[in-house]
This record gives sequence, C-alpha cells and structure tokens, in this order.
Amino acid sequence: MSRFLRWYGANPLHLLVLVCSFAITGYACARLFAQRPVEVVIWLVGAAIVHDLILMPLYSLADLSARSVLRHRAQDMPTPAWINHLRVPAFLSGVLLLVWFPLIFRLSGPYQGATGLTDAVYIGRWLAITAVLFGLSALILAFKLGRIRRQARDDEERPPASAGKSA
Amino acid sequence: MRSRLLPPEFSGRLHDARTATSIGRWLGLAFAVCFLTGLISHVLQHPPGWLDGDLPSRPTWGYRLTQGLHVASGIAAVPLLPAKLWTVYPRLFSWPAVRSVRHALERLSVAVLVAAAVLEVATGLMNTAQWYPWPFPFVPVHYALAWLVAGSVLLHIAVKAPEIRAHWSRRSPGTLALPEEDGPDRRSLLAAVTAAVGAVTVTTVGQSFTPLKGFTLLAPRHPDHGPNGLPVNRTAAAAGVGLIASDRYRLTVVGPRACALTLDELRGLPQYEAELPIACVEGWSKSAHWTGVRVVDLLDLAGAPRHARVRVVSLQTRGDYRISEMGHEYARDPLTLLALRLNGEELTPDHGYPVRLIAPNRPGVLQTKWVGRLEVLS
Repeated sequence: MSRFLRWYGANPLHLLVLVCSFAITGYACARLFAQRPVEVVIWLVGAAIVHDLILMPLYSLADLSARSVLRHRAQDMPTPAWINHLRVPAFLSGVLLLVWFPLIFRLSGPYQGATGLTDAVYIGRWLAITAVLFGLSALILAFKLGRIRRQARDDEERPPASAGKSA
Repeated sequence: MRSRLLPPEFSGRLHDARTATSIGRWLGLAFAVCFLTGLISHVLQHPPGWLDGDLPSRPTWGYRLTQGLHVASGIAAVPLLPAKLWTVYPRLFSWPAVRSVRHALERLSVAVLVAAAVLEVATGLMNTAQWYPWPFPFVPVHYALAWLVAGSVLLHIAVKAPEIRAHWSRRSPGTLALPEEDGPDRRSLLAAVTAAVGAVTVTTVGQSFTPLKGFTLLAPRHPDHGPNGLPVNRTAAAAGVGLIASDRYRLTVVGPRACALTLDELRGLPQYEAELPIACVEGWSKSAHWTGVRVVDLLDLAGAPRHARVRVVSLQTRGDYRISEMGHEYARDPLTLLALRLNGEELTPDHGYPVRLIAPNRPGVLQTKWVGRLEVLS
C-alpha cells in the first residue's frame, strides 16, 4: 500500500474514480469523433487556447494598463477606489458582447431567412446598454467624489477639537 | 537567473479556493440544469428505439419549461465560466508541471474539462444565434461534448471534494485560513459576477419567460415579433414553399384506408381548439391559440391501428426537419392538431399555411409546417 501511495500519490480509490471517469470520457470521445474527428480536435484544443492564452491575458492586460495609465492622472484629487467603476460596466458590457456578438456583428447568415426579422437592431441596442452602464457608473462615481470633496472642505473649515490638543 | 516568465508569477488577489468554490457552486448548478434539460431535449428529438412509443405528450408546457431552462442556464454559465477560470488561472502555470502520475492524470482531466466546457457553451450559444462557423454538424458534437463535460465535472468535484468542503462557507476552516483583508474584494467580485449573470439573463430570458418580454433587447426572438403575433423559425421563403394555392392543396393520408382531402374537406371536419406553446430548441417559446382537425380523427378515418406510429411529411423543399415522426402517445393525444388557424386568423405562409402540426410537449422543430402527407407506420 505504501509503495502504491508513494508511486501514485494518492490512495487506490482515487485511481479507480479517475479510471472510471476516463472510461466515460472515452465513450463520449467515441461519439464525439464519429464525424470529422480532426476538425473537432482542432476546435476543442482551439477553445482552450483561445480562452487561456488569448482572451484571458488580453483582459488582464487591459485591466493592468487601465490602472497604470489612470493612476497618474488622478493624483491631484482625493479619490475613492475608482477602478471598479471602470471594471463593472466594462465587464457587463463585455459579457453581453461575448454572448451576442454573432447577432450584434450580423455574422449569422440564416438569421433573416429563418426568422423573417432583421438583425440590424442589435448593435444599436448593445451600444445603448453600454452607454447606460458606463453613464450610471460615472454618475455614482461623481456622487462619491462630490461627497468626499464636501467632507474634505468641511474638515478644513472646522478642524476637530482633538486635533488642536495633540498639536 | 530564474526566468520571470516561466513559471509566471501572479501577484493579483482572489485566485484562491474560497472564490473558486463560491463561483464553482453556481457554475455547477448551471451545468447540472443545462445537462439534464439538454438530455430531455435530445431524447424528445432523437428518441432511442426502446423509448420510442412511450414519450409522454404531457404536460403541455413540459418542453417549453425544460428548453427555456436549458438555454437560460447555458447563457448564465457564460459569465460564470470565465470567472471560474480566471480564479484558477495561476494553476495552469503551476511548477513543476507534473509532480506524480496522479497529478498528471488530474491535470489531463482538467484540460479535458476546460476545453470541452468552453466549446460546449460556445457551440450552444452560437446555435441560438444560428451562426455556424465550425466544420462539423452541431447536434451530435454538442451532445457528445455534454457527456464529456458531465463526466469530467463529476471527476473534478470528486477530486476537489476536500477543498470544496474546506471552503464551502464563510466560516469553513479553509476560508478562515485565507487573508481576512480579501473578504470585501471577494464579495465585490462575486457581486459583479452575479450582476453579469443578471444582465445576460434579463436581456434574454423574456424570449421564453413572457412576463419579462419588455426587457428582451438582445435575444434572437421577441415573443411578439412575427406573423400572427408569433415568432417563426424558417420562413416559407427559406423553406422553398412560398404561398401554396388552396385549390391545388391535398392532404394525403397513407394507411389501411388511404385518402386525400382538399382544404375545404379539412375545414368541413370537426374543428377543435387548443392553447399550446410553440417552443423552439433555440430557447424562445410562446403560447398560442390553435384551431384545426385532430390527428386522431384523421388516423381513425384512415383505419390506423391504435399503436401505430405516424410520419408527418412537409411540402417544404429546403431545410432540415422536413419529416417528423411521433409515437401513439402524441398521435392519439386529443390536443394534437393539424392546425388551420392561429390566434383566430388563417395561418400565414411562414407559420405553415395551409396546414401545420401542433402537438403538446414537443420541440418546435418537430411541429412540421406545410404538411402534405400523414403516413401511418406499422
């Protein structure tokens, strides 16, 4: 048993569950590769690569650059934590685009013939939703900024009694 | 000198097991609902031989509910899946890449899970928008991928069970061992992910959940947009039928006593009314008021045996699903009609003028339009 543990890294139950799952995977793969196996493999591997090595680094990079660029602009005024006011509308708008880009960019050939409707309306709607999201976020940030400034001004006008004592 | 790129270092926060558990629970729930409802849809559309005659035609709203849930849960998974993958992303670069046989097998199964889950969600989503950029057929690949995801999710949960248990709640031992100052940030992240799920759901779900139809801004269908106040999938033009001349139309019923009926003869038969939804596999659905001839009456006219299966053949010249079949449960259901009227008006060409099939608890693609022939099978 201990030799098995050392060699394998976990108890035999772990191996059994794993082999069982690989058997199901094999069954699924047999179905999966019944038609056009090479194309399916390309798309399967491609899906992982597109997400893990392209999309994910891209949006991380966008976040990092937004923070490093905007940090310098905001030095002269007192700011609340502002990055989420940029992240949240960008995230929501981005997810909506991710879900409906085939309609928004009118990529679907059969859509008009199948539905009798036009897909020209989607880009305007998505842009309008995006505008509302960023606008709301900006309003909330403006409100927060206003409150912080008012507080700062009030603090200057009547310094707290304790401050005098300690000085 | 050690390279900074291999393995890369991650200084960001929240790539921890508590965040992964919180998002993973919701993703697991979405996948479970999506898998089960997808299985129902697959069985209804492609019944295995041993189940063929016994598929239930009730409840009337059954397929509307399950397929609405299928598409809604699949769309809800779209923000959840990248959020989950972002949380565990640093593990992709864990070093050394392989520590033991066990570790190698686990990593292999995670690779299968990630690739299959991303492709499964993507193909399902693009099918609802009718965009098919891939070179393989959608239905068999989407179905096989579902099993691949289901198997690897089960394994993933089994392997991670101790970690999931340790981070299940805010007071679990594993959660308490994490840095306390991450708590508010984690709650913000989870709130943003919840908001994203809400955004994709609210702008879409009205296509089947009609009380929210006013918010249907990005879904492929709006419940009110379409001829006769009902959306369609495949117009008469796309199906290559155009307007069928009423005086030339015949409905042929092939059976022990074969017959051919003109449109006026069909109108002369007893007419029945039914309130039944049209529920598309792509996720939209709407209830409508249908008037027409009961299929069971036509079967009796043709002398069909009680347990006979029925094949419904369309006059359409283009497109899949020209022919559909149904077992006796559907064929003999008193609500199964060859409809002539929809919402009080004659059918429009896009809805299958002059005659279409409408049956309870049945995927929209099998509600054959422009019906030209009923065949009684043995």
